[in-house]
Amino acid sequence: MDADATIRRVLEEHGRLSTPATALATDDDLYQRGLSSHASVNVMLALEEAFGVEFPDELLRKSTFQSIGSIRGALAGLGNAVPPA
Amino acid sequence: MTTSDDGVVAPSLVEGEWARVGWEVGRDVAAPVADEVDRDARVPREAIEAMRQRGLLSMLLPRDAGGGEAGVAEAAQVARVLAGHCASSALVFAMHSIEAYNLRRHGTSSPLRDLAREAAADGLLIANANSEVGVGGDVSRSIAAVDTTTTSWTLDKACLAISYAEASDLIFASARRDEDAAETDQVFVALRRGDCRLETQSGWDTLGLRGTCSQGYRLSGPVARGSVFPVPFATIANDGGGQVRQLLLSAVWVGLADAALARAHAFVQAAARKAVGTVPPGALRVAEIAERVQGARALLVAAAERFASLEAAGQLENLPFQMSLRTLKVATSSAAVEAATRALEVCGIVGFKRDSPFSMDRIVRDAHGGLVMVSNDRYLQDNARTLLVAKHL
Repeated sequence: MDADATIRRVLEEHGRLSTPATALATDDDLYQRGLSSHASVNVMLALEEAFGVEFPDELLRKSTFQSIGSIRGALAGLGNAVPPA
Repeated sequence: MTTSDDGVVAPSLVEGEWARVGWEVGRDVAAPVADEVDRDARVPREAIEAMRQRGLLSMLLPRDAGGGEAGVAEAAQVARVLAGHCASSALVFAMHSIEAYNLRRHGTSSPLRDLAREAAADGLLIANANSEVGVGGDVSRSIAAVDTTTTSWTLDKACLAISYAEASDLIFASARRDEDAAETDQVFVALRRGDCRLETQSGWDTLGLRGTCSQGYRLSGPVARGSVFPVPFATIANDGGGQVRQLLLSAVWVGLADAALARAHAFVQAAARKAVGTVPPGALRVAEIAERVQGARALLVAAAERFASLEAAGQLENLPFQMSLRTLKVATSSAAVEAATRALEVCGIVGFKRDSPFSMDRIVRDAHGGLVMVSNDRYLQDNARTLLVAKHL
């Protein structure tokens, strides 16, 4: 499963979005799609588990989880196998 | 440094020009009517007028708009010294100052800069209408939306509480961006109170903090296009507004703890002067209260310093810091209640009486407001959730 598909799966399971995660564009604003601060913690945890990474504190900000693209960029910066956007 | 002459606040802790002004407003204007404000549950209009006259309402507004552009730490000092005299006045100052800071930091559009100039020139009082019936106190979601379907935009919102709404000049409110927006897609808008309709939905007959008049209202009125802040509400809440809120409200709780300690201290000193050569039994209790209050003071000062350095570095959105601010609020509000209760025990029956100089009446009741406005349990729950992803506590 590629990175985008995994991110979408996590968003679908934990994001409580108003739009199905599979129907989101890479740069769609997740907060405008209903991602709450409570749900975003669950998204962070599930991403850490799915990708085997830990987001450092400086990445735990709203802009990191703004879109599928920004999440992919953050994961790529953590040095795992995610290709940059 | 200001000399304490009414036995309320320890003088060595009141430093700086803004704090001196706050102290004078507290002593000369807020304190004399504090009991009446409390009894009648009315807004402390005399203190508000004095804060307007003495520049406290504009101290956080930008200098180029005519404000004082003071630091948040200085505003925290003002809230703290006011609290010892009248907690309701201190809270009005604190809640207004949160919005003044939001206007300074995020009101960067030309119409909002004009509004800041007007606010500074006329000493406008800003209230807040973020809370909403139906979202359970979670201000990161809104039900009400800005109605953009007609030429003139409007907002109609059922607010859980708008403190001192009827004394305010401006009301800042969060709302969904438009009728189609998700609950989390929020904007922040500045309404003119005089243009709005305020329909009272619930009263404010409370145990303490009675002068904030935080009644529930249905708020409706026109939304000028230029009054919509240029950044999403989430940015305002995460990048400054939320942090300033915790700091300034915590300062009020520290001020109440200061006042409780000072009263118990004055009581045992009076007892000591009547029986020179013996240490009054209450003195040991006062030493214990001081330990707790000193801790709360140090937490506040450290948080204010950390805020200033993160603000200067452009790093206010910082999860561990936001957690530590929630902890600050829990710690300071708990300290205020504990200090007030134990100071009551020290002062005994004269502390229990409402007409004695050592009366702990308002302090005990007001301090309990700190536990529930916002509830400490909610903040601890937020921290419990956040620490699952934060890497450093």
